[in-house]
Amino acid sequence: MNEPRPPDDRVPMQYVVAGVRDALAHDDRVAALDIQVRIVGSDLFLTGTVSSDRRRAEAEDVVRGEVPDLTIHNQLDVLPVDAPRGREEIS
Amino acid sequence: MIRVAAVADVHMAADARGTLRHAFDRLPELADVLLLAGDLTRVGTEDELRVLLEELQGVTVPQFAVLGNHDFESDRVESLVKLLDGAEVRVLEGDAAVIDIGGETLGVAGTKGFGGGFAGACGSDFGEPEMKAFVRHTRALADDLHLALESLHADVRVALTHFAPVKDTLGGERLEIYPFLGSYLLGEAIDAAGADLVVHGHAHHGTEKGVTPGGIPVRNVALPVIKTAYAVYCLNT
Repeated sequence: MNEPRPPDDRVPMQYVVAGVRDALAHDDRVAALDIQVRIVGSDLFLTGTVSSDRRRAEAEDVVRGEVPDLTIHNQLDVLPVDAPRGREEIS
Repeated sequence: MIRVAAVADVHMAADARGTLRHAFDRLPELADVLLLAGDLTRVGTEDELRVLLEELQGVTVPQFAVLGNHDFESDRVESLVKLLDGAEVRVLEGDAAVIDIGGETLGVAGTKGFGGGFAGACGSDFGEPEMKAFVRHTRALADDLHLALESLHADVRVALTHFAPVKDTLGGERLEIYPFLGSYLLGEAIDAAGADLVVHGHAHHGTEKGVTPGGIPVRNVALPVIKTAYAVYCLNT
């Protein structure tokens, strides 16, 4: 089995990150503009929040389709959606 | 006292069906009105909006909304507004409404707003037609918001936008994207017309609390910021 490796090292990493972020924005399953993408060597880290477990998994699928050779660390959090416990008096 | 519940950036779609229902069912106990500050959907389709409207079925208090940039993605804005109107969610875009809440009046003026940046680091109405169109769009929406706020005669006045009117509430966002998150033109319009509270969304990595240069409280109610289904603000008349 081949070890994960960085994408073509002739492509500067910031362009790879931009491509991944663009895919996350334009894939209708995710359509997120605010997911943070960081690549360190052959590891890709996803951080931020999404609204469901399914969307969290779909974000990972989208990224895997873009950079299949990287190891993806899906650190996305699913947002809590409880009613507020308090309120603020505006003065 | 008027209790205002507000949330933005729910980005509803089928996979999130049911996630907000429980919290929304409790809303009428906790607030007198609900403000939705844009990005109601993921990519602006009717199906996504219908999911949100199902979640809102237990919300028996008056509801107002502005749309967000995600709601424009599929070019279905007219249809989305019709769906919202049909569900008695009043969509505001450069206009305003007043409601009576137990003998006190609440006025809400709204616009989606747009970007451009903040004083000292903003786009100018200069150069290429595309750049002019960008800045002029924001200015036109800010002017409409100004007129809408000025038209309000109510005990409490709230300005509702999607894009940010100040940079105070952009705290954790990257400086490079501030011009895509809001515009000082919105804040300037609100300060000129006056309001008791400004509610916006769009800046998921921002912070909740800020103030306009003129001293009006601003709250960023993007769901990832408030980390609850909605925030509640109490305004004394």
